[in-house]
Amino acid sequence: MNGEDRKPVTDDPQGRLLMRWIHGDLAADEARAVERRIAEDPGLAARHRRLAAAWEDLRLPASAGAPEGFRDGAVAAARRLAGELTWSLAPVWARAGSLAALIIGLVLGTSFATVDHGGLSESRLTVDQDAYALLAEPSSLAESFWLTLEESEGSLADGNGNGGDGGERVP
Amino acid sequence: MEQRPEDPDWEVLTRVAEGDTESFGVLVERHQDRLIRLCERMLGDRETAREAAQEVFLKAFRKASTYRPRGQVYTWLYRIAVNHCLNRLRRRKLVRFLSFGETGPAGQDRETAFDPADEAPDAATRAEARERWQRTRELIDRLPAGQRAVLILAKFEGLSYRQIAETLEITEGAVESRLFRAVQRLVKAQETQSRGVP
Repeated sequence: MNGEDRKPVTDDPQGRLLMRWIHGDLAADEARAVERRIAEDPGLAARHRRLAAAWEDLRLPASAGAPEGFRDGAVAAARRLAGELTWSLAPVWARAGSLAALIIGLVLGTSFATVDHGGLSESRLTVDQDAYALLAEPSSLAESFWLTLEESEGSLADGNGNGGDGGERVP
Repeated sequence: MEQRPEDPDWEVLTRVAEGDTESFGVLVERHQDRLIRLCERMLGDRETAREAAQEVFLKAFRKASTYRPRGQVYTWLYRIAVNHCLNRLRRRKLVRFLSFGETGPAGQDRETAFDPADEAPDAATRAEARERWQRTRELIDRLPAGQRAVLILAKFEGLSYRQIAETLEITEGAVESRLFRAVQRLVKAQETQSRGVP
């Protein structure tokens, strides 16, 4: 844009003054002075006619303005943007921490889901064990000790972790 | 943000800067018509203009907290709009260049700019008006970006030289110079047309 201003602005001061007058950007006394000069100078008058004709010939259709719902659309977009901005304005450590947690979660989740023990998923086994533990809530410290012992023996007896737990076997 | 009591929009903009989307809605409501109109003048296509105007408002929403007021809010919005439209035009030019003119006949995408509601009483006058709009559009499209912006702000938005200077962040002398050069080009183009030279 600045390249268009390379020519000095002092070029053709008469033409620029005429243009200001046509646009109505001159003070009343300046406008009167230009009018007088146009009346006295036929060359200037001809120049003025050409510029004014080109200016007046410029026409574009009326704008229909904003369509229905334009405001609401803009506000909804701003709300979405505000959410994004909140995240982008969070401290770097918070964003990095969240990203690391996400990656760790994904890695762990993937490995957890893919480890298979004799056709059983590890997650299902864990749930069953938890359910058993809840049902067989030890009522005393001694009972708790024996239960723990039985569980550990069972685990050791079955390398798949599928037996010796005293609970119902998963088919 | 500095307060400008003479312009009620500053108060609204201050709230927008704090992320208040309701105030943003107020700002959009106040300026949507004039910004869409300006984008239509700059881009020559109604649908693209609406899209561009929404992008302009979102830019304003994003920039509200960093902007230091120096004038009226609408001149700031105009500045964002003019720059945004000029960028779009540059992109459009580049796409046309890269697609070797495969975007259809010239002027095809401008058809939507012609307002069917703005109708004259008879078909001949309507046709004449359309021809005039098209001629104006072609003349404007041939102007360099800076001259085009100044001409549109002066002729179709009715801004004074001072307001244009404030909007585009240039001197009044530069406005004067650009507008005069733009109109001189129009005079030459019209003389060429009237002599029947394509």
